[in-house]
Amino acid sequence: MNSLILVIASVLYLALLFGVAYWAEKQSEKGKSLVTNPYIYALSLAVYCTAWTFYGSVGRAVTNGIESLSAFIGPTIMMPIWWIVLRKIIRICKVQRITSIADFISSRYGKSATLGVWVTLVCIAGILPYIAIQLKAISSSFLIVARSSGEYKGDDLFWRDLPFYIAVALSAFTIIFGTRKIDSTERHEGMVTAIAAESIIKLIAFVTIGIFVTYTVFDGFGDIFQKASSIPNHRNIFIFADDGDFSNWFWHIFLSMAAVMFLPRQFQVAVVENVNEKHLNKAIWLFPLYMLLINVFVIPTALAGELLFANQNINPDSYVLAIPLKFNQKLLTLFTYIGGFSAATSMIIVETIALSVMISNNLVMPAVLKSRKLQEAFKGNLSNLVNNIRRTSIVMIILLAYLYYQTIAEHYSLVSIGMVSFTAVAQFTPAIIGGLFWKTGNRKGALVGLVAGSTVWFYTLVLPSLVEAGFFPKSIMDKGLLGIEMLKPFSLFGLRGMDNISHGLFWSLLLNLGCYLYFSLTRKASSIEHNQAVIFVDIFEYSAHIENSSIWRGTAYLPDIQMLLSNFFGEKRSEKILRLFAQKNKINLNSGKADPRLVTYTEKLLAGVVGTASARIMISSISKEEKISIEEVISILKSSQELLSANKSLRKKSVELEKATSELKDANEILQRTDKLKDDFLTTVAHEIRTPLTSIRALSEIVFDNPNMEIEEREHFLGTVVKESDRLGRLISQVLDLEKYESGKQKLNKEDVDIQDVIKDSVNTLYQQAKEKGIKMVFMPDRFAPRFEADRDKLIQVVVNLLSNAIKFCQVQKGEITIATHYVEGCIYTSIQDNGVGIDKKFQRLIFDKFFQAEDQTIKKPKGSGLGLAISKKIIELHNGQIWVESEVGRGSKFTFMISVV
Amino acid sequence: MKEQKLIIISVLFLILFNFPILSIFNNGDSINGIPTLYVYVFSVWILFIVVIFNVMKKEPKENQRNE
Repeated sequence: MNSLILVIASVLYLALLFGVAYWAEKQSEKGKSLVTNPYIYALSLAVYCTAWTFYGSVGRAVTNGIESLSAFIGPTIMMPIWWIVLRKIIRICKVQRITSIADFISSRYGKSATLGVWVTLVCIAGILPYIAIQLKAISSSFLIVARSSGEYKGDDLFWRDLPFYIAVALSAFTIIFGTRKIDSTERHEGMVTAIAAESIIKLIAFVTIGIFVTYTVFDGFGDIFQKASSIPNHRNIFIFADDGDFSNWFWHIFLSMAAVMFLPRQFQVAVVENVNEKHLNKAIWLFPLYMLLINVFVIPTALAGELLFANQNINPDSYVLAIPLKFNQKLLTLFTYIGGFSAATSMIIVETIALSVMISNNLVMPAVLKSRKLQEAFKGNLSNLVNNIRRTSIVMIILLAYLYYQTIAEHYSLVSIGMVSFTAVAQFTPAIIGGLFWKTGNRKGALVGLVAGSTVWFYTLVLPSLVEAGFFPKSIMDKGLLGIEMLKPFSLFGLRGMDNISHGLFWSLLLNLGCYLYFSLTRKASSIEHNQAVIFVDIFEYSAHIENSSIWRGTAYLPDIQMLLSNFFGEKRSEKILRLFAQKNKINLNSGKADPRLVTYTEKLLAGVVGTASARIMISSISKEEKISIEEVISILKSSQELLSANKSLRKKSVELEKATSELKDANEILQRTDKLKDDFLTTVAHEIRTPLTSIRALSEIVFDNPNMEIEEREHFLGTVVKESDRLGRLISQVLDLEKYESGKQKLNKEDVDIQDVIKDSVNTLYQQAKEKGIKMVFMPDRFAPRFEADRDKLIQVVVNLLSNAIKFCQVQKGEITIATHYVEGCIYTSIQDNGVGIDKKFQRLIFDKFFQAEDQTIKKPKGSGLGLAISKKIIELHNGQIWVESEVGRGSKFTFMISVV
Repeated sequence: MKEQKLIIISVLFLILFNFPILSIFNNGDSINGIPTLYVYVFSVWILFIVVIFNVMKKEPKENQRNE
């Protein structure tokens, strides 16, 4: 294929990458952020799959067989635990504004600058070769495709230096989209979106080539495996040959479990670029799915390559390209090339950003800040300094990787270097996992463990490659360091039967963990180490309160704080930051001394820019600090937590109190009303009783005073006395009746009742009375009304009451009363209609109240006690029924009561 | 509760993916031409994804106490 096409494709691809990143940043400025999506997050995690996966997996499958899958099965198994660990790490990093793995470890162990430096150095030493092999992958894939056309001979200077130009372009991308913002806690949305896009491209490319190989070149999985099994050598590709393989398999799985968490690029995309902790919920199964898909065709492709290129001396790392080339599939080759290119570039971009932040925040800035001279030199310009350090280190990292590629990487296949890098970052495992769950773990332990582990790593895994490249004499490998057999790098202390990686991993991690545990248990931790340990381990308990509780004590002056902030954020922004924080926490900004909370907050803000260790140095340089003991720290955190919960319960209590008060108020109102009603009732009853009593007394006096009264007159007077006494008696028994109903003492004496009988009996009682007034009575019964359970006497009382009212209000001779029953849907309606004076609308509800006239004394009193309707209502209600009236003044009234018989 | 489940799943699959379980399928036989070990590894892998998917789906509301 024409090399020019390849160059154009590469350039176009890079342009596309810039375009995607630029577009994503623009979208985010418009408020339509793309990275708030869990799928983008999961895809960006796939930066784990580099060119090493793309080309190297197939090569590794040829040499190591099924073991090549271990680098992906490890992370898969790790995912559930990763969810637990990562959630904690993300929360800590958000609260403490941590932006790199070096910062994380340094912050956990008392914001130790030394530890940060060491972690950074291990990362650089471990990762640089890894970046170098990405460049190597780009260049060798380019050469393979270009050579195939025969036009390229391998001497042309431009093509030889192609990786250099690509390195330059990638530096530009990383600088533009990786160092745009000074605060590294702010996310690089453009970069993340571009990485997610690259993950899609490399997956599609690899699956496409896999399908091509498996289903076009061969006839499915079975076909490839069957043909391959005929060649004895290739049986090992899908089988563990001996028991040592199982142990290597285990160690490789273990190694990649650590790597997927602690590789700087994984930390960058998984922790620093995480927008929402809940994105983990999807990523936890999407990422394993991604790895599964990209691995399905690895072994078939490896076998296919072995079958197709038997004895042709083609590097297995390049089978992915060589197969489509052999079948002259130009477009597929180009696509595969782009897939590999994308895998390499995504890794380089993210890894470089992560490393550059570490270099600026953990290597350079602490040094600058510790030296008075340097600090003076950059005074007022620190934010530019930080950014420039980052930019420079990006260029430096990529150039160093390029140099490494030119000098050493040529000797190695892609795979071994990747595994060596994994082993380097695996050294962080004791310090991080211990630091997250074990408060006793301290700085000394972490530092000694890390130094010991990384030294062993260097000795067993890096030194051999340097020996091979000719930097050290070969005798080290054969006879051990200084001729001591026990120190042979590949079989340290005589350990054999493991491959180099497992061997190096085992010894380095054993020593690392041993030192970490030993020194943590035997050495005392300083107070700041204790503080950080508590915050890290119990982050979920304290994360809500750390913001507003200060675990710092000392004296600092506000102008110094202001100066520090404006150094990095500019005068305007830092003033705004201070004002907002002061407002939120009610801090007085006018007193010269700075509030401890403000100092803590400032330190956190600075940590986001220059790392925790550097921020610590800066704060202590402007303040006089006092020691604060661990007991105090815990009590501060606890008390702010208790204060918060006390506050919460207080608020809850006051709400309850308010509710109780209003309930009480309501009850009181009801009580007062009832009290008034009782008073009114008593007044009315007394009044009602006095009227007949007065006339009885007056008449009796007359009879008493006039013994000579005529007999006729006397009889008349005594008759009235008897009548009035009757009325009095009736009234009193009604009052007692009503009292019984109201207190609930009245019981119904239920029996089987026919409503027609009730009405007939009632009518009979009043027939004479109506006849005397010349009132006509009509009864219209409903024959279908069933018998039902009721208190017969009480119902008669109701009907008699309603009838006597009707008779009372009807005009003599003109009156007409209609009594009717209806049975509708399980209810019996009984209505008594008259053509009397009628009732005004506003009294229609009141008339059922006892002595309703008590409420409005202006109304002309009706004849009677005024208790009849109230008692009737109570009786109907006791039967679970209702009573109401429809009426119009001058047209008469219709009283209806309804009783359910179901 | 979810955390405990996840740890158990991790340990379980670490066992399924390692010696000695793995040696049961390391016998050189094949299913439809595909080696048993290959079929086993990928089947367990798919099973893992399905299990995790279900665990995460079931309790979407849990663990919000820390938010």
